[in-house]
Amino acid sequence: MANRLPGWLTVDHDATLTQWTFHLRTDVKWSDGQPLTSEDVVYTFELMKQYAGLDQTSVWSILKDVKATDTSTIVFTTTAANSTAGFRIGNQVYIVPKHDWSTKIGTDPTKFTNDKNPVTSGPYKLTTFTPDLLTYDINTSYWGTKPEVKKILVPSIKDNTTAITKMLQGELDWTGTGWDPSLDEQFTQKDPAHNHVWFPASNTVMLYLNLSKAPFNNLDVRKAISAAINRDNLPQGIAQYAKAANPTGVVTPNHNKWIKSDYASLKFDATDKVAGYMAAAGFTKTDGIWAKDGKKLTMNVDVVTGWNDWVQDVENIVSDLKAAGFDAKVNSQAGFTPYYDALTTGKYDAAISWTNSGPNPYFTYQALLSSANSAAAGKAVTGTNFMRWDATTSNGFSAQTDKLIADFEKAPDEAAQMQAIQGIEDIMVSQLPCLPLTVNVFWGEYSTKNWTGFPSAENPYDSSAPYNAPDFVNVIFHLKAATN
Amino acid sequence: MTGHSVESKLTGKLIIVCMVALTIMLAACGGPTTTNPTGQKATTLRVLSAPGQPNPDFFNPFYNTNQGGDFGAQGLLYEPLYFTNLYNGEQTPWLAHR
Repeated sequence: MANRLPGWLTVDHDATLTQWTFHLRTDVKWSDGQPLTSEDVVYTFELMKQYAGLDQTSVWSILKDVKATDTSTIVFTTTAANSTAGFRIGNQVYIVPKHDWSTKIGTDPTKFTNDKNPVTSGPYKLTTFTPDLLTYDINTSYWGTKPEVKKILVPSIKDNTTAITKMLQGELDWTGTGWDPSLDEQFTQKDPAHNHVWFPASNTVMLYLNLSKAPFNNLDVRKAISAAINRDNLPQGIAQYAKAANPTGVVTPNHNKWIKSDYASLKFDATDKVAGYMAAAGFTKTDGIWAKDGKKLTMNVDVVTGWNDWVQDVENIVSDLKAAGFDAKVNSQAGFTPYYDALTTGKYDAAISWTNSGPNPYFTYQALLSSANSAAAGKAVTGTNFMRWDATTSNGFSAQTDKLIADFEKAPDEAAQMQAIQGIEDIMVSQLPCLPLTVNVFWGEYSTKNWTGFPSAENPYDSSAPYNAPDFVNVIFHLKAATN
Repeated sequence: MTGHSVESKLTGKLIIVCMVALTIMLAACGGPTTTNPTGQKATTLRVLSAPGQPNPDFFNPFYNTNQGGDFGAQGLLYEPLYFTNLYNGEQTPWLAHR
């Protein structure tokens, strides 16, 4: 079931992968009794076209037009073949009611708060709102199977400590809070029958090297830096949930089937390879530090103060690098904004950071490697192309990654998609655009005292994190009331 | 350009929630009260997507919680055409039936 991919190709499409037809259910009614029709879908997409701020997923970067052919059929035309269009149109856009919104949104729908009697289609209605607490009650006229959860309370809690305290006190059923193994004693071990955590893999964490700066544009230097880092040493203490990554950067184990068999058990180079790579790059050691043309290789490794698991990772990495002859230092940025600015505008040497999650490796690779996401010096990159992988930095290989990304988008079936992904894996392994470190997790803690049916290692039907929309709704639909 | 700003921001939130609390403060005030009485089947789910800001006054479903939107505007109030499971890639129709 789970591997019945590529899912988005199940959306009705033509042979050129440029026409995507969605057939609406005809039994869906808005909360005011009006039917939900193709007019609402066209209105939603046209609104995003007119007000780009609403188009947070850039769906109009692939769309040419949207037309209703009858009250329940909508045809989307893309500017080019794109096998991901079904996902991008279908999963990431929430349909709003034309008859309600067109009278309320005013001149700037990006500021529309929608807090006064919203007309909605979903399984719940907004009952009360305060900055401290949202109350949702079941939509008794919901078109679909009604969930057992009749009321949802959403408090606001300012920090992890308070959230975990509420969890321990039984005041929350489900949270997505960063976890610490020392909390197991007070939570999972205190009531093992009811208190559970499950942290499935989410995305691969990278050590990004700024390719627009020498010597990080030198492949041998990147290979040496990678060889110096002992990944097996990273998952420990507060970072123990993030296991060592695969050299392809593919999220393990979720996407294992996409990993080329040659790479399934591939290990990163060991430290004994550092000297050979640095010699090949023309470096020799001066005072125990790698140097070239009289200049020692120094590198700051950026992280955000307080992101404790990553701070620990960077401390370990810097220690490994020093031991291997690199003059490396931890560069702890005071907050997310200065860290992210440095990362996106290329004002850093090396940095630990994330890659995108997605239902398969395409979404990670596209954001990471598409040269369109790189930028000229001083300009901000997009996606996660923080290393600035493009024609000027990749020794010609970005043309190959761009082609493989396009091949995936044009792929008519999973075999062709697999071929494109595995071609990108070859480049990840041979060219090291960035250095995979560990696989991050989704945070999910829950109590089965009131509700059972949460995702778990034994029943991994979705991620356990309550912050992924619309996945958390899928979880709510699976919950069964327990008898206290 | 085919940016996935939502995904990167979403992942950004994962990172933000990585900040690990090392001390437990047993505060006994605030928060939702116990609403599922003993001996009866539960009806109420109390959920916190992630710690952070007070709930904003913004139920605009074009924005996820990392972009300033409220938890629930996406998914509880408004629905997509198709659902792609982020964990296993499995796809099921939602407002669309195919």
